[in-house]
Amino acid sequence: MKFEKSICIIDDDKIYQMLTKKMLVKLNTNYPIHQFYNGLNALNFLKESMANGSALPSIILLDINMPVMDGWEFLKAVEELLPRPRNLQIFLVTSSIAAIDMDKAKNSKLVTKYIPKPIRPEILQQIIL
Amino acid sequence: MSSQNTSNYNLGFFKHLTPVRTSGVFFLILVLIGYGLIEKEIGIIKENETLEMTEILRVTEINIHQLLQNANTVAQLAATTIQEDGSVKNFENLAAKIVDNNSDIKAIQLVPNGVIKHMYPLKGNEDAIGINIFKLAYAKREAELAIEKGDMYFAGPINLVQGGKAVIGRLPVYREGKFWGFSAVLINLNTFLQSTGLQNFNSKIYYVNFSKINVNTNEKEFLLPKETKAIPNSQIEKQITEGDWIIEIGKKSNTNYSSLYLNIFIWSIFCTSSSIFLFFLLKKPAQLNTVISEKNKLLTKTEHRFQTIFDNAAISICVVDIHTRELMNVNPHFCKLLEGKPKDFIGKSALNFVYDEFETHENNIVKLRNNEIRKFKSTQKLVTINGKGKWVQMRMSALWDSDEKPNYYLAFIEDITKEKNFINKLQVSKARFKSLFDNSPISLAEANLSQIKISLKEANIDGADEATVRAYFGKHPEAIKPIASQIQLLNINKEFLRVRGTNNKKEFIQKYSEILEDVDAQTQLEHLVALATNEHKYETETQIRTINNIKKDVLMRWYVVPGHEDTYEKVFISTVDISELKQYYLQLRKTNNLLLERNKRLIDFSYIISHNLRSHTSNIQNIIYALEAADSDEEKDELFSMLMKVTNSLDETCFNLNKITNFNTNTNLETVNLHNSIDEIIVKFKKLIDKTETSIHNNVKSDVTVKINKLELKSILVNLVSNAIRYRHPERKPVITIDYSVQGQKSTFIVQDNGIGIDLDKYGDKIFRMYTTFGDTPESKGLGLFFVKYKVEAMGGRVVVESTPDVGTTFKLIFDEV
Repeated sequence: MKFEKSICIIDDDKIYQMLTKKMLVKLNTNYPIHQFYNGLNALNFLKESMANGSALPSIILLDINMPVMDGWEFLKAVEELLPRPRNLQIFLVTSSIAAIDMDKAKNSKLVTKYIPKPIRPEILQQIIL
Repeated sequence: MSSQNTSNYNLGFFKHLTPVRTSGVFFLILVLIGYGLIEKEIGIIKENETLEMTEILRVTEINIHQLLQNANTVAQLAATTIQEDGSVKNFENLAAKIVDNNSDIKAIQLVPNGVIKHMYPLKGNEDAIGINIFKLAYAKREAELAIEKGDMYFAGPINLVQGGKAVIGRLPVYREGKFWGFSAVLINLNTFLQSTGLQNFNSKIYYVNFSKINVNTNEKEFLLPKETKAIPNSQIEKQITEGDWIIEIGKKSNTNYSSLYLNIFIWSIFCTSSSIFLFFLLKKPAQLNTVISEKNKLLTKTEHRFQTIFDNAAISICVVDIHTRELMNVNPHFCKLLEGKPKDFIGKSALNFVYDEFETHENNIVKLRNNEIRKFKSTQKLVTINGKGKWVQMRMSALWDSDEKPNYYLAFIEDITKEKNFINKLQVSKARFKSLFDNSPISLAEANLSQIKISLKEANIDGADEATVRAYFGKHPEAIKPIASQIQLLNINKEFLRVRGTNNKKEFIQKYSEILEDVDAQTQLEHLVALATNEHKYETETQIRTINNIKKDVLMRWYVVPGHEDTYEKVFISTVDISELKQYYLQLRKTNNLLLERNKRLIDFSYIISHNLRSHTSNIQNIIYALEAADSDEEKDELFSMLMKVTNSLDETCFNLNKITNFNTNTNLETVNLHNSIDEIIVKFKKLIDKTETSIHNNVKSDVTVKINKLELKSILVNLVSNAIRYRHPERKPVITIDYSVQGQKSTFIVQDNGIGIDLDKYGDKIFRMYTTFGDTPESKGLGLFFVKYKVEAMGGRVVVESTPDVGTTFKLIFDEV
């Protein structure tokens, strides 16, 4: 399974998508950026990439509350799709500061970090380094 | 008191007349009487025989004499033909007339000087003519006898020279004073014998001998065969002198006494049965006499013992004059009971010691006196010498001589003061218990469950373990109701009746078995299990039915009254009406569930609000960061434009939040025509309906009205209709059906579509969440269904969704009351 230095932003909030992309550009990131508005579209992208033999993104910025397929469902589907994704980092970037979500993220093998919104440029900097 | 003396029953000589002896003597007397009667009867039989023989002899003699007389007449007639001069004239003519008219006569002769000269009929008798009978040895003597007698004398039987045997009667005829000769008549021997009647004589008992003494030989010659079986000394005889014939009649067989046998037999039976009857007749009094004798002996002994017992009895006894009620005798125990000495009581009226004699007691004494009863019992209160009251149980027994009316009675007195006090206390307790039972605020019943126990025993499950009992009724569920219905109500209190909705105890007890019929089998099974496993206490929540068929929830407890644990004949059942409690509980549970649901929704709401507000604020923060780092005015303009969008979104979120917090369904209630309201919604969606070629069927009847907040109802239906159009199936035209139904207290709004449907297994728990959308429909905000559910539940209803992906979705809004 190939992974490349690319970023996948999965969030139904278009403003957030635009701002994050802008921040990444400002940080001089050359990584390709893939944007999805729900988990299902992102999952289909991963599946297609795997099917085509394309490299998978190494960083995923994942929102929790989304239509069609939310963040938790996406994580569950990825866990089934990629049993041991060593080079994949998934950051839960969400407006939720509910303890239930934080605990759930802590217990997930796939979640690298739980980041409450707003995501600051310096945090984004650390993620892409 | 006195006893019977055995001498009263000493009968002197008669005491030796035991039943055996008396009946033996009686038997002998009867036998002797019988013997005398038989003897007399034998004499009569013998006398009858003699009379019979004499009669036979007499008849025979008459017969012979008639014949001889006839012959004599014939001979005399024949003699008339002899003239005085000795000549004979018209003999033949006369003789012919005589012989022709007299069949007994064989022939007539005229025999002058012993020589046969004339004979009629001559023919066949020619050989006799000329014979001189005086010259015939065998005839001479008999002819001479006729002359000697001077009367007709019959000779023979003689063998006639002309043949045959005959008897010849010769009448000596005299003419001119001299013997002329004989006028003779010949009678055929057979004719002679027939005329005697002896020739055909035939008897089993008698015989007849007919003989003649031969004058020449002086020996008897028998004219008929001589009987050889003659019984000696039984015969009588008669001599006929006209011919010296002898008739003998005698018996040839012994007298037949067989006619006596039946009499003897009957008499024997009579003697025997009479004696036996007499024996038994005499035996009973004898036995009684024996018993009386023995009893008297016993009584004598008893009388001796009586005084001892009287004195030492552990019970109070007194003897009272039945007329004066005077105490005749008292025993020491009596003295102890009434705290005195014998002299304090004897000679005094018993009434002095009776606290207050009851009327029934007095009546019984009168009956005792009148010999109507012999004993009776009564409970009395007596007063001791010291004035103390004592309750006693008295048994009165009259005593009298055999030929007298009762003159005194014996009273056996037992102190029952303690028992009486105990009974009084018990009665007070019972009365208290009855009052408690009747007026208890708890519904109470006393029942007999013994028949149920018997049925369980017959089914071999009484005393079995719970699993066995349940297994049995699992196999025989039909047996539950018949067995459980065998409960028998003994008593019920007022509260019990009140709970059951009646005040008629009798009617309720009568209808109880019908009421039990309605109890559900599971409840009955639980009771049966408790009974079979010998539970003495049982508590269960169950349902009962009132007499008016209203079901009530009750807490039922029963327990077996101590002492009846084996039979379950007495069981107390208490029922507490928990219908209201249960109603409150159900309401509480419903409210609690509603609150839990609302709380959950509140948490979800706060989560979503928090999330969405933070989403907007975080975007604002990010925009500010970006503004700080903006390199150009164009970038700043772009960021300000974004900031405007975010603040608008924030405003919208706040607006929606305001809608939720300001929502109140209980105001502005009005009667709404449902059909018209749906039509108004269809008009509102006309453009969209036309564009999407949607068919909406308003199936609600035009007269259906509901009392509801009209705006909120329309808002709910608008959401559901717009969702149905929004999530239409891409491959078919949308069809939406709106319906309304009422079932009992429940009314249901139904909105059905043929859209894409929802995978309820996957999204079932999310479809009503705030800001949750499915699919790429940009116009969806995830608020419609949230508001539908929120509003329906706020109005006391609930939303049920049924859906099949690719087929369609049905939303049911169910209200208990609208």
